[in-house]
Amino acid sequence: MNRPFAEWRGGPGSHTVVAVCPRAERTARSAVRVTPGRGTRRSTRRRDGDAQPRMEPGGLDSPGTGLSETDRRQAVHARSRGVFGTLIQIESVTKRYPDGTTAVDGLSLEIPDGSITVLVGPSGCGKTTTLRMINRMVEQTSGRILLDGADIREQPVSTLRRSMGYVIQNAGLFPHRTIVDNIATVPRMLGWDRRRARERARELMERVGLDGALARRYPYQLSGGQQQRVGVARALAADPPVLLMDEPFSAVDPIVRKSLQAELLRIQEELGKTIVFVTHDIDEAIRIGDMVAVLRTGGKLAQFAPPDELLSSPADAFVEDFLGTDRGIRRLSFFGSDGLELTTQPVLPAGADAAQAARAAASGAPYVLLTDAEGRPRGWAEAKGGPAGGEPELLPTGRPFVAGRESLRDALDCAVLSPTGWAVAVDDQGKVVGVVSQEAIGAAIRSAHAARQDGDGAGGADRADATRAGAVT
Amino acid sequence: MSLFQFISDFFRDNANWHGAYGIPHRLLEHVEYSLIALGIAAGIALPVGLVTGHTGRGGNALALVATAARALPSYGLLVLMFFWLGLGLTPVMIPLVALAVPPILVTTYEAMRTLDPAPVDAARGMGMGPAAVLFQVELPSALPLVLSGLRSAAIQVVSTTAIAATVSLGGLGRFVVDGLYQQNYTIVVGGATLIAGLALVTIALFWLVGRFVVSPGVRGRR
Ligand SMILES: Nc1ncnc2c1ncn2[C@@H]1O[C@H](COP(=O)(O)OP(=O)(O)OP(=O)(O)O)[C@@H](O)[C@H]1O
Ligand SMILES: [Mg+2]
Repeated sequence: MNRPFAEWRGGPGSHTVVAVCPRAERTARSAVRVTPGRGTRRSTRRRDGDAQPRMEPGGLDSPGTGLSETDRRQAVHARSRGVFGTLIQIESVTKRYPDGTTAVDGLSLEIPDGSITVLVGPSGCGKTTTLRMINRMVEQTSGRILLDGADIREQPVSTLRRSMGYVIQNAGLFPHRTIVDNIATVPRMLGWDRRRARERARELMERVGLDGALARRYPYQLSGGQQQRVGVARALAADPPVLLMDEPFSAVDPIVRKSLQAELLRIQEELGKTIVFVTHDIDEAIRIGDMVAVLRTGGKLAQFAPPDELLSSPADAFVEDFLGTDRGIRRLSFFGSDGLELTTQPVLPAGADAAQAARAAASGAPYVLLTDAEGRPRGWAEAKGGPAGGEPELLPTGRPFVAGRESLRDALDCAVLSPTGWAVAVDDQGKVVGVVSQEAIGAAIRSAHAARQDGDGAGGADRADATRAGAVT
Repeated sequence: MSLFQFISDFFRDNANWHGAYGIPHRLLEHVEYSLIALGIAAGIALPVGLVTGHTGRGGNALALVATAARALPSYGLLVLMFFWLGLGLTPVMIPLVALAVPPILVTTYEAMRTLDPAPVDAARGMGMGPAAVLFQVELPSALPLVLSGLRSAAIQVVSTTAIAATVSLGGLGRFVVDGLYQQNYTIVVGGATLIAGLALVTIALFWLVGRFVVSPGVRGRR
């Protein structure tokens, strides 16, 4: 067993609150790429963490906070290529229940360290059973599970479980304890004094985006989404290296679910936990997974791949069917929009003179985009009529996409929804940086696909580069 | 004479307030018998109810025992025990305990059976041992129901402890039994009023205990 667990077992004294700015973490990760190993990375991150400010807790709904999704995936891809070790190895594990049901059948999985691995599949395919075998809530019939290279049966079951946060559907909060005491449960079990445990709990409330005013409330006084956040905070309280989550967000409405997913990605980015996440929702799997394991009924592994690869090359008809339609469109989420060729020719800034207007009209585009004094899009005008004489009739621009940060899927969506067939690209402040036609987006998609194919041939590095700066919808 | 006349006469009579035959002493005896009976019953029924409810096994056997115990007539049992065991506290305790066990047993079992399994699963998943799960998670959530079982047992015991007087023991039943014998209805009504009052005090006490030991987070649970 190597260092992090020893550190972790060190008890209360050795706990440091890991508060990391994502960029710092990224630096830390690249810095230790030459020397793989969890211990090294963790301690590096801790040093960084002491000096770095924490991200504000409120920003869960703003997709632009911090590190872009594909950057995170890039780091994980790097690790799944073998630079870092695997944390949890499931080796031909079978679970047969006493009644004869084979829930999991000869399953082998290597769960990479510091990333989100999603187990997905139809109901009854053995996802929960697999997850619960990792913290020994269910004992496997045969095979073995290794954690950091050591069989999980070698340590006492309570020690094992305390090193793994466990989050379940409907949160499973203790109804008789206040929110802060719910979160403080594991630190208290580890012997922290009450004050320190509560302090830690309040810190975690902030981290998962909960208002501190809720601390003294009881679970029944919280909404389902808030309860789920408390569940996550409680699982994180003792800073365990592993987080096991069983359909944690399936009981909340789609909007809350999306913000919880965003929150989880942000937390994972900040803390670098190894997360095993069970869901039956393939969209959720693709949205949050660094690696996705598709299980089929009877507990057999159908495919284990990054989501991007899952969408581009499903292993068989079952996986393809499970992924559903519009795989191609959904896969565009993994392509950044920074390769798009934007043009500023048909863009006419506020207060432009006649010459500029004439040049814009002559750009070849059927429409001209007018912007306001701040450079934000106002609307499309027909190029033929010539905007020089009087105020032309404007067509709405619809939602623009953020160039570079949002994906090709967002760009295509904007173009499809635009009355002119052209998408408007803006920067983070909402200022127009250019426009792009459907045709140009189509060309970009084709070349991105081609580049991805070459990248696969050459090894992962190019692939990772190609996805830089895209955002997942 | 009206009922209230009896009651006020009884409580105004100075003689009723002093000595081994006075109200304070009889009250103390009554409370003592009741507490002993309730303690024994709880000592049997709580662990059995918690364990069977926790494991989910033995529910049928438990229902059978509870029904049988409920069908036992307390007074009949007392008389039987008196002839079998002779004078003493034991023949009184047996019917009282038999009376108090079923409500405690059944509600405790039910309380454990109907617990939300999710918090228990979460507790086990975070590494709590079986004892910690029972005392830190299950019991606090089951407490409102468990207390209500204890409360109905206590009320029944307090009322029924009066039968102790019929086998020459003390308690508030003495007033009723002696009064009937002497055809002194002031004492009969006074004793009955005291027993009813004690039952009300018991309810109030349980309400108070509930306020203190049941978490506001589960107080709504019945
Ligand atoms: N305790 C048990 N005893 C017997 N069979 C069980 C037990 N738990 C689960 N099973 C069976 O094992 C299979 C896998 O169950 P599991 O709960 O792992 O599925 P799942 O993939 O999590 O499904 P869902 O998406 O519905 O939660 C199912 O056929 C289920 O009926
Ligand atoms: Mg399940």
